[in-house]
Amino acid sequence: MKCSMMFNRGIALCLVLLALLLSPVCAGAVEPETAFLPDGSGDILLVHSRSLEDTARQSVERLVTLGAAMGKIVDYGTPEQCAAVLDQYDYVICYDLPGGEPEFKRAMKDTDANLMIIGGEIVTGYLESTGNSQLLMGEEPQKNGRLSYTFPTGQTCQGIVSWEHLYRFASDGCESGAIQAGAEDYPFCVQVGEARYIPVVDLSENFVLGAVTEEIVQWMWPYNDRPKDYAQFLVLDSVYPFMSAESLLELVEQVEEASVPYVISVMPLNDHNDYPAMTQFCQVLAYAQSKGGTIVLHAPIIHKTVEDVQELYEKLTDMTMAYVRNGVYPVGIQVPLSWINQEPYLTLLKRYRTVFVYDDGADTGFDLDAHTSLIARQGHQLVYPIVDLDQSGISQLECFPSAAYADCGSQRDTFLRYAQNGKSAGKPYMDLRDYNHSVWLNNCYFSWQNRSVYLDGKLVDTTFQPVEYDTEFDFHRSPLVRMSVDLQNQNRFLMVVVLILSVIFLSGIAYARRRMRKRFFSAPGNEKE
Amino acid sequence: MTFIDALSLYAIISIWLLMIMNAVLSIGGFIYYMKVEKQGRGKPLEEYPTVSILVPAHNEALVIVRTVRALLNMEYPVDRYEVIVINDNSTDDTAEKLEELQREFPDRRLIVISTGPEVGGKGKSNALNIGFSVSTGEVIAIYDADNTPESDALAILVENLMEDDKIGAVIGKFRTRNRNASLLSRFVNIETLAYQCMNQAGRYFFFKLCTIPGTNYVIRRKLIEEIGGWDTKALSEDTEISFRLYRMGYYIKQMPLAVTWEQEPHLLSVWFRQRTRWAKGNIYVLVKNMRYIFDPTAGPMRLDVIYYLIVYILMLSSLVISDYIFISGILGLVHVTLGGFSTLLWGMAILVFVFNMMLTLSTEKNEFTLNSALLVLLMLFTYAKLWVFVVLKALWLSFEDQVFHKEVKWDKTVRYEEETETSEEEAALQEELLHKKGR
Repeated sequence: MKCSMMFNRGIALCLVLLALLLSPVCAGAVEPETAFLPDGSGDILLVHSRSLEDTARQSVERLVTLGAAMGKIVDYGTPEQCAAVLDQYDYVICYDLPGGEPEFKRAMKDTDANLMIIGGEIVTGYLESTGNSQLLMGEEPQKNGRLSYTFPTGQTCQGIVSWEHLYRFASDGCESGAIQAGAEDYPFCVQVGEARYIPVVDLSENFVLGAVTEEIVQWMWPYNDRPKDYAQFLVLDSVYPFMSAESLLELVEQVEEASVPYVISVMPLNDHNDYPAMTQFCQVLAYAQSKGGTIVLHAPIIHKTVEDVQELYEKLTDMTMAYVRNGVYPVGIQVPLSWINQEPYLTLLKRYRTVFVYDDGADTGFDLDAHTSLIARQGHQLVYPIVDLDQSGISQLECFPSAAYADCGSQRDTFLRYAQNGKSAGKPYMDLRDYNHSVWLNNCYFSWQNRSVYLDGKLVDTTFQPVEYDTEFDFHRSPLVRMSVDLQNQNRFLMVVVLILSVIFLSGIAYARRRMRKRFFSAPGNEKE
Repeated sequence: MTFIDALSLYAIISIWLLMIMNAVLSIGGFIYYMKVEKQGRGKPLEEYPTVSILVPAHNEALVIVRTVRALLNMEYPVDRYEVIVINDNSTDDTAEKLEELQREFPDRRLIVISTGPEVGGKGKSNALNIGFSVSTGEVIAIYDADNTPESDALAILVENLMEDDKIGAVIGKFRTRNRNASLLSRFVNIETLAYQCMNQAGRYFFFKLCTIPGTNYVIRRKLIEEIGGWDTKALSEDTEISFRLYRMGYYIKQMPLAVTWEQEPHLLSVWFRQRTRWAKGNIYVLVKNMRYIFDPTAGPMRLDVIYYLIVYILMLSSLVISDYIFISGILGLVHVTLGGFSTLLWGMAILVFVFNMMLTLSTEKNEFTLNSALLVLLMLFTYAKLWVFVVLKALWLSFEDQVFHKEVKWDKTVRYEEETETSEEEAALQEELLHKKGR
């Protein structure tokens, strides 16, 4: 009896312990879900289906990013999460939703919001619920066809697109684009009742994204208006501090000659920022700065996860001060897409008014559970990579600030070509100095206002002043570092060694094989063969 | 420069140094091979010295008959050599097999010494000392129990030993009899040809330095007597004896025309045990002889000690470090900021390794094939990596022996029954023979 009681107590204790152990896990698991849900505070609501495949997820991300680029806060969620708040938004995009969502269909029917439906079966349900079923005239059996779209700049792009459902409606479509499927032509975007409808959901191709963006602009600004700022910038990307100053100067002078404003994105420097090469490099930057170039700081390449924002503040302060000490004032920062989706980078970016974004091909860290575009809520002056449709470096879209990036190594010619294209483009590259910027560091604050720089509120003289370099600089190199430098210099030598060895080996092999053959034929009994 | 950068730098420099060293040795070895092939086996002697062939055998019933038959068929005056098999505390039917052979060859000097657990079973060195005590030859030849020497191997070795009084021992070449048994034995075959033969030849060509490989070698009797026999504590008795000979002012010659075919491990577990024993033995000899590095009277053996030091310390550490950095880098645990070292060079390093191996294989019949080239490439990323584990285990065991004063144990290589020679091997042997006769 006693044993049995002890056994029961043991089990009870184990259960309590298990419950205690599991409780934080469960709490942690539901926390992101309850952190933020669409509540009407954003500008656009994007409703997506519950389960998204990779392509669909990327398309949702591109739409959210696009909204942020246009200065709009995009909130997003599933039909269940959004049905109750649909009415609190002016603009609602339904992305690839299934047809059978009664509550959501009811919300769509009752809302006064402007609706844009991209793909999915929800459009048929929407027409039913609004009593417009007669508009639906049929469905195209083919699942892919050719999209032809003409952008406001006059550029026409064509390409293959696919769809799940391509409906024919008895209503007018847009004139900018059409989908050819078999012998039939379908408008790329069509007005169905109070909503706009686009059948293509895969936005991974730039020209499709461009076409959808253009349709969204016409939907949000219906009277031939546009978002007010769609400047584009030419950026000389990833300029490393210890690159040849002469080569950079030559490039800067070439662009100066073409009278094209440009931005230089300089890589940050953690160590050795007192080397004469750094002074020399900054002299070129200061010269460029005085002649129409603007400097932004490229985000450091981070290989390990950083969780402490203070660490980032310190590093960025040091890295920026290395330039400031040499009379170079970066007006903003250039960051990969992952920085605009994740902490602690988002917190760090609050110190910069102007943020250039680039796609480094790595995981962007986009989180469907965030339910809102966090970067858009921070109110930056965001500049996104251009949606380049013709490799010209000139954007065909006139709806958000964009940057054409080309590095000064392998893309040097591309950079110069972009500069030339910019001269003749209908929408030339803008001068970043015409905008106001501000940068906070741990130890100081500087801002650009009306083309002048203020450091801690005091006007700074940015006219170029040449300085002497220290030719007798002591590099304080340890033997190990000297060996490393030597090793770098030995690359060519080693390649020559490898080449010589390879030639010797191959000659030896040829000689040995010849001897072997000779030996075989000279052996008694083998002559006749 | 971070600590990881410093480690990377060390690994890069070490690996390149080792690679260039190996490449140079291979080129030297290749030139020596070609020279020997041109010059031929050596001058026939007016009178051949008496030879005692010692064959230590512990549970070798599967291979001993083939070995003894090959030894009794040597092209050497039959009255001038004897075969002494030390049946070292065998528990299988090695003794019966040897008795049958004695009955089959009653007129030949085939001596079988069977030892019990009291004196036998204590390792190869101990067995050799026992065999040596009953031997009468002026020259001692050693063959492992799994060997099938070519019939002219002994004569070639002896002729070369007699050509210079300063030659203390002559070693031949050994080939893998069972190279097609498994992927592992194919790797072992390539490794043997490249590192144990070609590399040796290179060292001999440049420095007149060789290490006795443990089988297929002849040594002057008086030298064994002078050094007091084989060191029973050494698991690599061959390396130990080599060092001693050099200290006595003699040198060891390599003669690649004297060939023996031996059975190599075809299972990973057997291979691992055998290589661990070798590595442990070499570590023992290395530690024992380290003090001679700075002793000018020790002669060229100091170079050999340095060579072994480079192999065991530099190579091991650089491989461990580079693999650690590679794996940690993939896992994102470390990041090397060392710049400027072209990745193209890594590709070129692999190319040099493959060419190096192929140069060796080009000197052998039926070895230079596309298959071999692919095997060499595969070997670099698989077999070569195992060496690190072998040496680490050997180091650990050596450490254990020192701390706990363990008795040195001979871990016998497990043999397996082979099918009779394939027609390909037969053809190769016959061709070799025809060629030698033609010469």
